[in-house]
Amino acid sequence: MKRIRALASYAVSSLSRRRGRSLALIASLALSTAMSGAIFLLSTSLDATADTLAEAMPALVVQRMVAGRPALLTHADAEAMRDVPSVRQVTERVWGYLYQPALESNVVVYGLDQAAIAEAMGDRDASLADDEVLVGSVLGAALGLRAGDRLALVPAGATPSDDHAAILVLRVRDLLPERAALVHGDSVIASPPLARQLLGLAPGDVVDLALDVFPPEEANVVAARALERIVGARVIERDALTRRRTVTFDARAGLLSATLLPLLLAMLLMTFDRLSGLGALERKEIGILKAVGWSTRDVLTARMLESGILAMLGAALGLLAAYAFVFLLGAPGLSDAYLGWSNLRPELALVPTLDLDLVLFTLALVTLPFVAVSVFPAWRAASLDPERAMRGDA
Amino acid sequence: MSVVVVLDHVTKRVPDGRTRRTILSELSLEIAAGELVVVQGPSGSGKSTLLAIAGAMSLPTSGTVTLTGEPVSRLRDAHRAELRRDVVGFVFQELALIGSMSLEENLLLPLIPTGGASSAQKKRIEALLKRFGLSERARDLAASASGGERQRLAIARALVRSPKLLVLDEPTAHLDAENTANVLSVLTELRSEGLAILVSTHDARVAAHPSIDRVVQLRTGSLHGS
Repeated sequence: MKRIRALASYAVSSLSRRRGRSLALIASLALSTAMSGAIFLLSTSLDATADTLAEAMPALVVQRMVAGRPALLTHADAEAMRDVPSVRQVTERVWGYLYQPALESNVVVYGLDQAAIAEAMGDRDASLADDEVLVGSVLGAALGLRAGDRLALVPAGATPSDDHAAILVLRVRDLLPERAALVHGDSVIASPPLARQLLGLAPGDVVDLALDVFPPEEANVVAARALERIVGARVIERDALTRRRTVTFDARAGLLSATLLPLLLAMLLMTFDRLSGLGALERKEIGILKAVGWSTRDVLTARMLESGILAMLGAALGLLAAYAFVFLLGAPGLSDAYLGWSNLRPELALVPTLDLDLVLFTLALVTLPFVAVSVFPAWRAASLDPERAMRGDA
Repeated sequence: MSVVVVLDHVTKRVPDGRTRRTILSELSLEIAAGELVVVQGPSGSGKSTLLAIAGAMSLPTSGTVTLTGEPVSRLRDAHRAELRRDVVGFVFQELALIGSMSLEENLLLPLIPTGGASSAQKKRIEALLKRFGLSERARDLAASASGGERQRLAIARALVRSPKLLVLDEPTAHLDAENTANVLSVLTELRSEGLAILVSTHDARVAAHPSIDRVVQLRTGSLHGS
C-alpha cells in the first residue's frame, strides 16, 4: 500500500509536470463521458417519469377495431364488462385529436367526469361548467393563456372557411400543472358532452374503455373476456405499453449512442496515439527511473495510475457536465431526438435521477477502454532497457 | 577486501542492420570494495556498455556478471531492478536528472518503489544535500542548476541508497578544472569509505589522479593493461 501511495504521488506529480497534455486528455475524456452520460441520464430520468405515469394508467384499455381501424364503442359495451370477475371499475373514455389551424398542430381533447376533473385540479369539489376547460401547460404557454381567459377552438368537421358560428369560444378554468406536461402538455380537458361536441362524436359514443383490474395477475383473463364479449375488441395491457415505451426509448438511446460511437472510437484512437507516441523526454525519464532502480512493474504501475487518474478525473467532470446539461439546461438538442418534433412539444422538467449503477456504468464505459488502450504503450515503455531508453533507441 | 562486482568472459553483441556487431568480447573484470578503477578507451570502444553491464542495467549476450555475490543474468527483471536499486549507484554522462523536478525530488526518485523515504532516509538526503553543497537549492528545479551543481546532484542521487558499487560515465566531461577537482575529491572520499568505484573517462586528469587504483584500456571490446 505504501508503495502504491508513493507511486500514485509520483503519477500526480508527473501529470502536473505535463499539464498541457494532461488537460487535453482530461478534456477529451470529459467530452466523451458528457455525451454518453447525457444520453443515459436522460433515458433514466424519462424512464423514472414514465414509470410514475404508468402507475396511474389503467391495467387494460379496450378499443374496437373495424376494418383494421379504431372504431367507437358504446355504453352497452361498458356494461358488458362490468360484471366480469376481477374488474373493479370500468371508465368510458371520451378523447381524441383535434387539429387547430391556428396552431398548425393537434391538441388532445379529453372528456372527464366530475371525479376525474376534481382529481386533475387537486380540489375535491371542483367541477367544470359546460363551456369551461382545463388547458395543458405547453398549450397554455404557446397561446399565452391564463385562468379566466377565452380559448377559441375549431371543432372537428369545421374548416377555417366556415363562418365563425362554428368556432367554440370556451373559458379557461385553469392550466394543468407543469409536472403533467409530458403527458398532458397539449391537452384540453372538458366535460364529456363538451368533449364529444369538440370531437364531433354523438352522445353516448365512447372512444375506449379503461378497466381497473384486481388482482393485477387476472389482467390476461379479463382481456380474454373482453375479446369474447365485445365484437372487434382490441385489448391493450399496461405492461405491453410499458414494454413498448421502454423498447422505443432504449432504441432511441441506442441509436444516439451508435451515432456517438465513431466519436468515442476517435477519442480512444487519439488517446492511444498520445500515449503510445512516447516523446524523447518521456523515454529518457523512463530510462532514468529504471536506472535508479525502478522495475518494469513499478514503471507500468506508475503509468497505469497516471491513466487511471486522468480517466477518473475526465469521467467525473464529464458526468457533472452531463448532469448540468440534462437537469439544469433541459438537454437542449438531445431531448428533440428523444421526444420527437412537435409545435406543442412539452418543455421537459426532468426529474433529477442519478443512481449508483448508472454512475458506475458510465465511468466504466469511459475509463476501462481508456485504461485498456493505455496498457500496451505503458508496458512497452516500462519494459525498455534503461540503457536503451536513455539513449533514445526505443 | 571483498569483491563487489565480477564480470567473467562477458560478450555483448547488438543488432547492426542484418548482422550483429560485437561491442564487448570475452571481457573479464573484478572490482573490490574500496577500489577505484578507471576505464579508458576511444569513442565507440564500448565503455558505456561495459558500465551498463557492470551496473546491472543491461545484460550480456554471454558470460556472467555477479554483483555482491548475486548472479545478475539469472535474476528476473524485478529482482535485477531491486539489486540495481540497493547495490548500484549510477551516474550517467548526461547526468539523467529530471529537469522539471526539484533537486530534492530527484534525490527521492530511487526511494519511490519502496514506498518513499523513511525518516532515516530523509535525514540521509538532507546530509547528502549538505555534503554536496546543494541544501540552499533543494527546492529549485534541477533544470535551473549549474553544470557543477547538476554533476554533484547526480552523484548525490547515486548515493541515496548507500550503494556498494558506484558507476560513473564520463563524470568530468563537461566540467571546468575546479569542478573536476571537486568530483575527484568526492570520489577519493567515497573510495576511502569502502565503495567500489568504476569510472569511464577520456580525461587524463582523472586517470592520473593519485587515488586511482587501476586504469584499464578498452580497445576493440577487450580490456588491456592496468
